[in-house]
Amino acid sequence: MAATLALPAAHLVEVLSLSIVVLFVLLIGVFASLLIMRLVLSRREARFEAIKESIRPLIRDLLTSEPDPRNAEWKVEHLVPAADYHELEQVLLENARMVKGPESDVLTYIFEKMGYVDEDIRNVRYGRDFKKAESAFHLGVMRSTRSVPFLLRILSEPDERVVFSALNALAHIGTPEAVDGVMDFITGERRIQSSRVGEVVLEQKKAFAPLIRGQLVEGTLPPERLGFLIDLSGAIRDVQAGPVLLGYLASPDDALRSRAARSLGLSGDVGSCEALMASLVDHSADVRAESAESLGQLSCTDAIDGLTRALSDPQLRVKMSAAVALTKLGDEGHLALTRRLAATEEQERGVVAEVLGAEDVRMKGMPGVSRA
Amino acid sequence: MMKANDYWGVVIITINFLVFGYFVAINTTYLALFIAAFVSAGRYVARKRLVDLDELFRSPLTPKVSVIIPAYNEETGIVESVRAALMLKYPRFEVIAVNDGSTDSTIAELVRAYDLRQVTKVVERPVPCADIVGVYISTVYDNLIFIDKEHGGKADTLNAGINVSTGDIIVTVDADSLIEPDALLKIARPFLEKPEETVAVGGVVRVVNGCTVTAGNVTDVRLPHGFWANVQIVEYLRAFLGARMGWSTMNALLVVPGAFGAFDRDALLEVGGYRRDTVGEDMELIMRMHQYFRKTGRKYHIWFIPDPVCWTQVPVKIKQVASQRDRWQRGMIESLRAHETMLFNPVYGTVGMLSMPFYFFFEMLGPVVELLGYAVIVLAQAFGFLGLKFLWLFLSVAVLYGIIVSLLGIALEGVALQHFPRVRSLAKMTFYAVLENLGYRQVNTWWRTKAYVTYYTRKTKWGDMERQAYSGASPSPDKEPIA
Repeated sequence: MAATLALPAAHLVEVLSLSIVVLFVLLIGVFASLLIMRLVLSRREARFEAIKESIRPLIRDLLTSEPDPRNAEWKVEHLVPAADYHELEQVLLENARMVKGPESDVLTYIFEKMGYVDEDIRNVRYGRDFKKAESAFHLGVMRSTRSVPFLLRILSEPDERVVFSALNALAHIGTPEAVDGVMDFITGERRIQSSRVGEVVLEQKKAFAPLIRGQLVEGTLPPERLGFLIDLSGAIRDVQAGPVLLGYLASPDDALRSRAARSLGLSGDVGSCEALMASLVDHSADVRAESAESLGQLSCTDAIDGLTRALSDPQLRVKMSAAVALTKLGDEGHLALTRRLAATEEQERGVVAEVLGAEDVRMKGMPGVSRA
Repeated sequence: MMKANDYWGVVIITINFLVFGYFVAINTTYLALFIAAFVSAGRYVARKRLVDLDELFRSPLTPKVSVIIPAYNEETGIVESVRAALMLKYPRFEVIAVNDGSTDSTIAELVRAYDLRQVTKVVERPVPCADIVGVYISTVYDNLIFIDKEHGGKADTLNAGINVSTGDIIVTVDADSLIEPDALLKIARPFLEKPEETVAVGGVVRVVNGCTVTAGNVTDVRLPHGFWANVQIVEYLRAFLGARMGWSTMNALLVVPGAFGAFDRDALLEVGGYRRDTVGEDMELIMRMHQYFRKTGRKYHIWFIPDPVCWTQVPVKIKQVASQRDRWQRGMIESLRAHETMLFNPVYGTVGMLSMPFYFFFEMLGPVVELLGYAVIVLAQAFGFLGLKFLWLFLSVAVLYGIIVSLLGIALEGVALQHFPRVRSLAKMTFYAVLENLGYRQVNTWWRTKAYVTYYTRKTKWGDMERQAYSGASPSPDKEPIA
């Protein structure tokens, strides 16, 4: 029986041996080519890096000593060999990410005149998805106003990388047309990478602030989108958004009220203290906790009584926010907090002891600082 | 009627072919995973060029992160690990070091290094953990909290950290590990880009042995001396880097390493935190997340990204390596058995139909099959049931194919990720890829098979590993550097 089984097994072994040999040769070939590729790439990268290193001082000098963009462009064009223009673009982009004001204008001029903008616009229009995204990102760094219509066009692309790069670029460019385009996108139907879109807005706080306020006043967007705009108005610390945020503090939607309470604290609008004090008794624990925190951030000294009462809130989170807020309200707030060390409820006493204890330890870390 | 000799002949030939099939299948699956990993790494590297980490760093919208460092008898490396965590580049984060009833001077080292003072703290317990003995904060760093708790195991310690944490994202880091300065920004990215579906992200864990560490940072990447550390580097590249990247592309990743993983806090609480009765708490948690979110129909994704690097010490003594592999294997058996209803269950999609069967048949039962294969091939040759050609064929798929798969791991590292800057390092790793399959793999198979015995006899406990001070770290007279 074993012998009869051994015969077909031997044939099978033959076939398998041949296939395994072929497979191994192929795989070893793949491995060898990958290693060779790595060697070639390493050398190429080292060469590129050396070229970039030689260009960097020239660009640094130009940015510090040549205020006229035309002269700067002429020098770059004549001092850097044409063969090194690819590395030159990378060095220019590195610098463009770091500088602002007149130096940025010099770089934008160089990008435009040396054809880098044209090349990236061409990629944005006709390139494959990744190339589009990369070029859009570059156009933002270059702050190319000429590219805005092309960037706006690709906001409807299905690929998220392309869209986010375009949004990022438009926010960096920051012309009214670009800012409007970003705002239309944010308030539009498409949802994408919400918190990263927020970063985009932060690039041009002043330009976006009135647009965000306008949308909040209108209030026609779905609650989720409104909540995002409320967060943004807090993140950009828009003091003028106070009145409209107060409106949302009275919203029937718990999430919107809580986000409004947080943004009011961040925005720095001290006129909202009274409304926030009233929110300390809101039925939502999130709203109560955010309100307490904001009252501390805004240094609302009138809120001491309300915050002291909030120390006996059934929710630990609210108690903690109220205790931390009281430490920010000067000696009076501190005194009110210290008195609650004698509170009857154990958790309240614990929270007060925790916050005061932590404050005490932090003080010890500061040389020469002590609380009377 | 069949003779006894014939009967055993049939059995041995059949087993030989089954084991042969097993080797072909496991290595081919690894090969397929590597192809997926190459594609994924290429995309990731390209995408990196479109992200300005400074923008993430400046943004007040970036969610708060709590870095939890569980520690049990970690007096040698804990100060350096906490320092590395405190030096992370991230806008809002806290570091929570949790001592699990250490019997060495872990507490004393931390208290001295960071001027810790005991404070009162009210702690809610959304997830179960042993009693907290004391909470300390630092007079030097505002964002450092130290928890001293009764001994309860690693999962229990992580749960204690979760209970104290206030971040939106929980990052777990082993006490013998160091995270690269911008690793938090990178690991938080999926949470920012896909906030609604990202529930966990795994980062790459690399071997720090041999590297130079200065002020909590790896400043010079080199390969260590010695066999054990080097083969483990190759093993990490093959099994942890290549395979996990491959599974991640299918949202079928079953392990987010405990040494460096990030979790959405709400998702973590929703599934009940870490299970405390297993030594494979990291794998069990991810499997539970898959089970819970797939069952509830929630859109979710568990990612593995190759870039945010965490450096960890690997054991260099044979006993420690054996003990670690035993613990890992036990953890895997426990996790897979706890979720065996997911196996071949189409409700769980790629997890139930692909990664669970892979782990069940290749990783869990694999060592037993492999060991049986080695024994039976010897028998077959001894009794002349199969010729030398089959022996060659068997060794080809068992060893040579394994070497080639390990080489692909090195190629993935060398071409796409390039964390080892020296070409000489790649050449040395190539040498160890051969050694890994000629000896180490077989010994490892034996340890993993033995784990079945300890699985039925031993209780859950932390693995004891003798830690060594980092090379280049602040000098300490009583500690030997690794390199």
